[in-house]
Amino acid sequence: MTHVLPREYESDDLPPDQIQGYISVIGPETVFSGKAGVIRGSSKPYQGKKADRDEVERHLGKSGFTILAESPLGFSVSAPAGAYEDLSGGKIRISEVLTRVVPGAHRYVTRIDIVGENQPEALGLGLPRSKTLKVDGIVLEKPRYPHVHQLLVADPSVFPPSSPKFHLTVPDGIATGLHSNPLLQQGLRGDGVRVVMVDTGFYKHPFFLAQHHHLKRTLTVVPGTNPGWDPVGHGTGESANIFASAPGVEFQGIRASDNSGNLVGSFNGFVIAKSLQPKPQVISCSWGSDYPYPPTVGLDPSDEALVLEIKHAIEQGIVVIFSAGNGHFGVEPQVPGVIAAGGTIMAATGSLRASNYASGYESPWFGGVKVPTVCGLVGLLPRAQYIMLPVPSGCDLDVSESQDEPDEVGDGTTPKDGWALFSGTSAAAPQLAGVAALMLAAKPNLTPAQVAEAMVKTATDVTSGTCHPRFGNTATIGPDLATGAGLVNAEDSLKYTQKTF
Amino acid sequence: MGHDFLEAVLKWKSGHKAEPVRAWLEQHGLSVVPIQAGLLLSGPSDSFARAFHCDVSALPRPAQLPVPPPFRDHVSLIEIPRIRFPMSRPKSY
Repeated sequence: MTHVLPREYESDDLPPDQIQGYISVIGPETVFSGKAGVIRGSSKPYQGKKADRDEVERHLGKSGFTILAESPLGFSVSAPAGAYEDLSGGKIRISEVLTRVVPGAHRYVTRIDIVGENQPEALGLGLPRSKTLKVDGIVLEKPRYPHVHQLLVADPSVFPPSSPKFHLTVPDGIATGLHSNPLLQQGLRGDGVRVVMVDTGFYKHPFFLAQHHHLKRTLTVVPGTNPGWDPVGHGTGESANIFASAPGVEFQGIRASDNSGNLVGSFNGFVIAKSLQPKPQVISCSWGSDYPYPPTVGLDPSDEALVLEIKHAIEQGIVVIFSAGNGHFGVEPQVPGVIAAGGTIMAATGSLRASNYASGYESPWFGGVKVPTVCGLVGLLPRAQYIMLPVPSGCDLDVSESQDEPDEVGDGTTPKDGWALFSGTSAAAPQLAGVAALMLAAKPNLTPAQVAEAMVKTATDVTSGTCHPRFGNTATIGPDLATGAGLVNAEDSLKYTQKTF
Repeated sequence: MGHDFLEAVLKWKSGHKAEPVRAWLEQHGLSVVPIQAGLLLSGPSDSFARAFHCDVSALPRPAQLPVPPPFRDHVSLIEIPRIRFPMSRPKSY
């Protein structure tokens, strides 16, 4: 069977608290000879001596294993991952294996394996570390399927569903709008540029797997949260905007949400991001705070601390991109040196105007700072259902965007298909991150200021529309408070850097 | 834990002694990370509640926590930041 999806990939999921397995006790003959079809006839040659079974049983009992059942051949057990690792000297590895579960349907199935030096290739099989312990092999339980159609809830599809609403797709619609296609056609893909995104989570959707993106294992901020999951779908979906322009980046996601998807660890997430080694080249953040506007008070002391961290990251040479806000007035996009990602909408005709979903204002706290710096592609009020993005099936966004609201119908997808129409300046920040990555791949020593200058000097001017009504600024000829310098242009940004720096 | 995690920023006074404060915070179940402005604290809300003797879940955000008396010469403030929002949805009024 050939398939566009990879046959296997390492899962970000944590191992279960208890792993079911089987410990085979060595007999006159080994069960695990590696030769297929050699076990014929009686089981007697494979049965261990009673004394050996007793010794193994004692060892397992002292080593964290619970014995569930026994036979002359071995023991059914349950134990945490660490117990199997101690017994084998190997490491537990969780992977997702593309498996035919019913005729005509494949899905990724979680498999647990023991890997390491001296461990066999066969999935789910391990060998003991000790040469004296009478253990023939360690078998980890693999999923088994009932022969009924209970497993027809598939993984999300690689390709998005259709929708009656005009929308952009990833990667093509975004690459077209941002003028990344000419660079992609030359083989310029942002290869190897280290991009970090702090968000609600990063699920390995089949869309990303089919594109063979370089996704590092997600880091988590909040103890007890699953690195393989994204309860909201926000981080998962919006990260696709990076790859639309720069499919070759080395992507590190940092999950800063709790089990409900609240961004309770965003400060920690940013500090972790800027402290990674090797240092990231771009940090993209599609979240922010909100203050009264015009502000009646100064910055919170805790936000002054965040400002310092952001400034420090920029001083270290990291390009830091924050969403401008969707009517929000937050401190993050105002920090001097941050590339504040605003919103422009591209219609089906290709015409551009300011998105009324996106914030735009002059900073009252940081003299000379105007938000946004430059724009990405963002939809319009009320819902900005503009870009079809991959999300975990049944996550918050999959459900909410599919539902009608009083002021606008749903996105035309189903609540559990793993695709949803959304955008916001959440989409603009990673779009700019992808464009930054294209520049940094060509010229790795660009400073954050140079990246911003290139984007600003070459942006496509947007001369109509207004930003979010909270601010009410109108797009005009030249830079303005609705769209900043305009819509980022990847091709011209790169040409500018090659000519100028 | 994944449902009640909190972060807070601790700012030092000049001439502060960091170690006794860090040790006290860690003894109360809080993680402590040095940042440019001072310390970033994090942990479950009940650890914050026990350490600072207040119902943190009832506090509006941002929220300043009471600095324990032994540390008032070293710590200028401890504040739980305002909430951060993903920027896919519009500001709600």
